[in-house]
Amino acid sequence: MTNEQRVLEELSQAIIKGQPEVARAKTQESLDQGVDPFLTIQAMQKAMGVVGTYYEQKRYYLTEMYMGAQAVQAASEVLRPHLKGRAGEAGRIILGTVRNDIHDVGKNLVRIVLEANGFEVHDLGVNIPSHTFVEKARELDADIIGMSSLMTISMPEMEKTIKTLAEAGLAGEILTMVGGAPLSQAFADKIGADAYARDAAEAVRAARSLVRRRRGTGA
Amino acid sequence: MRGRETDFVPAEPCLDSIVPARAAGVGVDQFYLDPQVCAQALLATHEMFGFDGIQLGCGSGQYPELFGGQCAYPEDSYPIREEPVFTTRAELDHAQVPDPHQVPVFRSMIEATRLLSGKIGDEVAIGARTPGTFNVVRALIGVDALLRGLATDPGLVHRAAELACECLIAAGKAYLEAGAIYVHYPDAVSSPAFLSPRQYREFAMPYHARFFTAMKAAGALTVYHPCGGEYPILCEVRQVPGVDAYHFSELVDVGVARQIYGPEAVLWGNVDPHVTMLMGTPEDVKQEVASIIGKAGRTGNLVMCLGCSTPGNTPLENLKAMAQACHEHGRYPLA
Repeated sequence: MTNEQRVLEELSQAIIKGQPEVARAKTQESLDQGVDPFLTIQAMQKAMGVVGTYYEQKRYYLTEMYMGAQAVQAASEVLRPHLKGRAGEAGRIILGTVRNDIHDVGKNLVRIVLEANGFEVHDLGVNIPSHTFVEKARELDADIIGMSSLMTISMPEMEKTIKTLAEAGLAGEILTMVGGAPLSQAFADKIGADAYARDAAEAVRAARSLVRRRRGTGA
Repeated sequence: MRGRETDFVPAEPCLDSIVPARAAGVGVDQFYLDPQVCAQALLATHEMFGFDGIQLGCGSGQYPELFGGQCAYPEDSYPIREEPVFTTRAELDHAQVPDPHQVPVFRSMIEATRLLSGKIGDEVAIGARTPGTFNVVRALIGVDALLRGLATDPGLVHRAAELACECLIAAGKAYLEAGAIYVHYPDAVSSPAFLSPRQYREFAMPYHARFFTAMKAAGALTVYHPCGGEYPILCEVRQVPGVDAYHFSELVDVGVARQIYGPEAVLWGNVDPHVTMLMGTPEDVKQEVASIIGKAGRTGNLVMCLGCSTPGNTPLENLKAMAQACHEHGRYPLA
């Protein structure tokens, strides 16, 4: 095993075992050894994929997913200055939990996984009114507005954001993606969202598809 | 829940605050902060729907107010507080369980319980919402601290859970003294959506046991709502002492729960709150109520409920359909 392979394997294990500080140290070590940061990102994505698989298999629960994501975030913070000009190539996303809702665990996981997959994510936080989503998306020329809600009483805020986009003449120009435990594809269709994602992995797939659609680079 | 036969399947849909406030034309903020408004709204709801049980009480997001953490009270939604009230271990260690009567919103809910019990307590079961130890833990320390604690600092989690549980016991006793006869204890944050079965056994079960034991000693009937995909912990849930009834989410097939728990267990549930109650038609509601009765109510011991609390924007005609369906399809002996 080469030194590069060893350090990337140790980084992967740190993510799978949910060890943020080890992940941070191994990422720095990879940079010190001259490993291409994008190879490191690929290793991180693969490791997070393992975490996601373990979660689906019920070997891991939320704690392990969360600590794995924390490890990815720690690694990303070390890598970010070395990715200038190439980070965010996958697309630009405005993310937030809608008004009157403060739940953010799922949203934060989605943010971390999207960033690990090359998206530039602007996380507005929680309790975000519809006009703030639209204003920020227009200001930053975002590809996608991603909205999260864990409470049914907050779900209408998603429709409000989509209507606000349309009133601003931006429907179809900035695309929308929704997610959260009480949501469904049927609800997303009903409110006119461009995509629905059940979890972080689906969010990445949906985001890639939406960016391709917006930028006219394929179906 | 006392083991007596009933003429029909009773219904208690866990209406929470937004539906009664909407039904009575008052703000959700007024519902929480003015006991007269709260009691009147629930009376109006009772006249409108005729459910057999009504519960009220502070939600988990309001428990930080016991420690000086103020919530915002929107007119059209639940109280909201973005930040946890405890940010260090020292703060948690030094915290004392306060008297809920000394905190305005708790005092309001306790008084509303007294008013409601005085008006209709002879004909309707009045219940106390006591939102679950780990739901309160999340409100007190934040979800990030909780998840990190579960991974790296179990002592923090136990201390937070102990404090949360004692606060719930204090609140529960206050509601019971005001006239409530049952406590409803939903705890999504200790469900498999958050905790593994191992974590549930280690961290959650001791505090659920402590709460229910205290409530039984205070004379309450008790309802446990594990929430959040309960199959992995069905056996553990059954082992928690002091539980009179089990309220399962829509993610559990109530027929399977009946087979596993047996005919003597009292089950609450479990119309789908989103697909059926929020987005379905009155006919959809009636069909699902009939199906649940068929699966789990043949020998009694069933309280019709939703899989969780009623979504605040549920069409009122769907709630009426639920009450009607219990009388149409749930009269004993069943057809």
